[in-house]
Amino acid sequence: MSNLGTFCLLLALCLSLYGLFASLLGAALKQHRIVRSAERAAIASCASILLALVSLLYLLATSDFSVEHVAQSTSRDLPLFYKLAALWGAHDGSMLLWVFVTAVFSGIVVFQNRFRYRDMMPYVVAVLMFNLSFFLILNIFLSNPFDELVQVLPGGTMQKFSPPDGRGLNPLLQYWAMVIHPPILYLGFIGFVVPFAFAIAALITRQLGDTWIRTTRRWTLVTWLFLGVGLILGGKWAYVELGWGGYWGWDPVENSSLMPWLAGTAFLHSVIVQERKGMLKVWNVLLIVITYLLGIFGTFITRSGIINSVHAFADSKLGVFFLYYMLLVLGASLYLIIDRLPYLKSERRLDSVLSRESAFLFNNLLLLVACFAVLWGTMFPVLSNWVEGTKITVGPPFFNNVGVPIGLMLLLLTGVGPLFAWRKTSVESLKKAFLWPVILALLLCVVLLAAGMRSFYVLVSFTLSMFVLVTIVQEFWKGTRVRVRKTGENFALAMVNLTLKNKRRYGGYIVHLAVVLMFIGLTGNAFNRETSQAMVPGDEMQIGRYTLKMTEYHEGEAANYQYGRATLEVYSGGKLIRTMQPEKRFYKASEGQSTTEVALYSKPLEDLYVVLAGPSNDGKRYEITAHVNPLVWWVWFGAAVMVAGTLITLLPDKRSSFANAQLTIAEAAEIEMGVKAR
Amino acid sequence: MNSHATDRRAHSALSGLGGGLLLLCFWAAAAPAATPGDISRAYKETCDRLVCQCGCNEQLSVCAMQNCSSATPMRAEIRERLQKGDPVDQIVDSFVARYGKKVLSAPTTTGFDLSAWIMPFVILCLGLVVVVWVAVRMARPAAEAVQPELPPVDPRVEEELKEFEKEI
Amino acid sequence: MLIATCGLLVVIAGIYVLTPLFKEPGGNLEVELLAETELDRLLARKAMVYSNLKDLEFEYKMGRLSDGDFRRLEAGYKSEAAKLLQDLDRLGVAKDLDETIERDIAARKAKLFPGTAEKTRRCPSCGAESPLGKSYCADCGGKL
Repeated sequence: MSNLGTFCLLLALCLSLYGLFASLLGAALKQHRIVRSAERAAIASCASILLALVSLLYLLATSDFSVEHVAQSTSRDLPLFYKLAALWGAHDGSMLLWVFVTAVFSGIVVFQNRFRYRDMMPYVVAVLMFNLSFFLILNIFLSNPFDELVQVLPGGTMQKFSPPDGRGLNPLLQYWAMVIHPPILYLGFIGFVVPFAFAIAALITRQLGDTWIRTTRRWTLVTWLFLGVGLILGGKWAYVELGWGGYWGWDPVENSSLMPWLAGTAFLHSVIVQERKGMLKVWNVLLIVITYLLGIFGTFITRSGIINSVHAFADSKLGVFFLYYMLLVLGASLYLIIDRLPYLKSERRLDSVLSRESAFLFNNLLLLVACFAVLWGTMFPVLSNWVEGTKITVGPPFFNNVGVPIGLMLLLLTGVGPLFAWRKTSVESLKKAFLWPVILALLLCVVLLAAGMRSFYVLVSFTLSMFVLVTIVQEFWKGTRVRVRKTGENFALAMVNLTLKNKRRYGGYIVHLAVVLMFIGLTGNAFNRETSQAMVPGDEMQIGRYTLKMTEYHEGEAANYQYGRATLEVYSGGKLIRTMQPEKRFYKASEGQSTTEVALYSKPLEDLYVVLAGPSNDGKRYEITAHVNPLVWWVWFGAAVMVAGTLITLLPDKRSSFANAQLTIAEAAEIEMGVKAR
Repeated sequence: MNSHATDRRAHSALSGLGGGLLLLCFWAAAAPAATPGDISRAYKETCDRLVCQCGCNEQLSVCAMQNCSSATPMRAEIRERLQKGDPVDQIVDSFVARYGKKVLSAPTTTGFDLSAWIMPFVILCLGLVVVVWVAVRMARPAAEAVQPELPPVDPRVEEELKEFEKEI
Repeated sequence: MLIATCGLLVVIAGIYVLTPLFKEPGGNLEVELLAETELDRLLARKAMVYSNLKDLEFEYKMGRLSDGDFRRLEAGYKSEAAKLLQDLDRLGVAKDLDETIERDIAARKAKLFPGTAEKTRRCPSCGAESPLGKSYCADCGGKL
């Protein structure tokens, strides 16, 4: 089975390399049948990788410990679900998942466009296959999940061997959000290759209108959504499973997934300018190259071991290859952009600095500066080691101090930007549009000051949140009013129709609203409190308005771990409101590694977060840590709103007779092929 | 008159939302007053500023390993010295003397480390200059070319526009 | 067993991938016919200008623009649309755009699938002939 897996990967590599060269050859010779063959190679390579994936899943499910990956990341007592999820529990298997997702994306692109953009497609296929081949090569030759365990016998001969049991899946990973977090994050990292491939194809074929952007809009949005959801799930996992009371630790690996998300956000905004105005063409191509490279860079950080991190797959030898690949891609893209500069001229001029267009410019600037700050902080230890020879740490205090002002500026722009009209805004209208948001925001600020709030950032954050919130509500309200006047619909219906007829604009506002909600949640951090106390049943502890009374300590055993569980009654104002049971687990297979299972009582106002840290030093009492984390709930709620808003922008548009002939001919060809096949 | 009613409804929705947020913030502002004891705050601050040396590379306040070979004695020492009345800076300095700069969770503000703090804002300023320059440069030629002679408006445009509106 | 499986996989993949080389027609006809044309680009840009115009009107009604600016910008977009219409006229787009697109597609299809483009289908409800590829009957509107 493991040999079959390796073989399938090799076959896939041959196919993808064939696809790369055949598509370029077909384009050069102007022989379309060669391109068709290349496209089939892309699909066949996807199928072959699927086979490899299935065989690895089979090995995992049947606990074949002669395979190193299976022995390293599963054990017999692991539930089947986690056995399968262990596919991405170590770097070689996760690389296979990565390759698989890449191949599936490439296959979908080929299939979707089998009658469309025929002149661009050879190059799109070439870029996709180049990308796939690179990861396949790494996966086969440097990090093969099908490698078998070998034993060196005393005589020096090597022999295959199969240990009686595996080492077990890292217990920290045995949590639902952690199980789906990597695949979702991968969808987000990898998806940017599609707009990237179309951008490169557009450069090569000199078709630098907005075709490549229109074609890939959905890909970009879905990718961005997955990346965002992946980040949030990662945060949720850290919050519930790591037990230190927070959800974002500015870990290098977290940072490396934040960076493409920030760049992708910038890209999503700036393509609107190109679609509407035919401006920023160079910038958009550059931006998608950067976004794609940041995705690769994220894998580089995770897999090269260049930076210390809890998430990193320690010490694999892939780093150099990623570096060369990134340099190659960057060099080639820059060369193409410079060579095609004459085709990338703006079609229009900026009419006024007071316009939506320039608001987008500032949005891009801030997002990229945020991206740079994260990159800079993440890489600074390497840089410092290089320049000064000293090892230093760049941790949360750095990112918080640098990130907060930039984040607040972005928040401000979220409110200000949409108030500007395209092309030119009248100063009068700006005054009107700003009036209520500013008044209400200032009012809030005064109230907060009067209430004794003195923390500068908290004040600014809440004030700006209020400001943006009011601008968004005002947008919906004004827009609905215009529609009510025009159509005579009632207010609610008009608001729904308004949103559905302008999905991108109002869906976008809902995403902005989500950003505000999340900022409220993030600001709550400033009020976090924690206490810890060693307790025995009968003891009480106090945190905020809660009294925690320990009633019981219980030890037990589950299939693959032993646990200790404390039972605490939570009283507030003398009333029992909840019983909480924080747990500590000791996993049998993983050398007794332990995890904390947090007990959580989550309300919009605040979370009560209780951790059983373990027995105290004398072994007679149990260390309980309790956190009160205000407003965390809003982060998750905001994330849900963000998903909803993005889905609205993704809703399909009604087909209009203004659609171009190319799509119609593509459809006609599709029907024709269908008839022929029948 | 219908729109007046809707105006009012939207107004009340608006003020409801605003009021909710106000209340929320009011509550949040009042909250920290309840935080007891200076020791625990100083303890948290110290732990935030230091990094666990067990290899997890996390702040002392974050490392969740039970009986961590590095975090546990460090925390104990911090608690003890805070109780003795040592100021936070002094405790942090003594750890730096023992382990080197890598025990700090953020770069210092001297020498090369300062660039870590400054660089993002330098880039921000440079970016601002570039964006403003680009915006102004892109905007200028349009002002010169005031209203070139426009081709006469085609009556078909109005027709198609109506149709377009119907379709979306 | 393993070798046989691997061999089988190679053969299947080989046949699947190489078939188009022998089955599909030579040359680059498909690319030319299925590529974006000038017509496509003009139509897409026209749709964009109209949607810009709609947005402009909307923003004006929201009170974002002064009267003067609105009129100036609206005139700009409208003349752009007029220019695009002229360009489309140049391409031979007669008064009916749909008809032109139909003709364009029919011409391309005739070249792409020689012999099939003329084919028609009989409407099950009224019996009128409709060109292949349509989903609704042009006569009675019934589903084909």
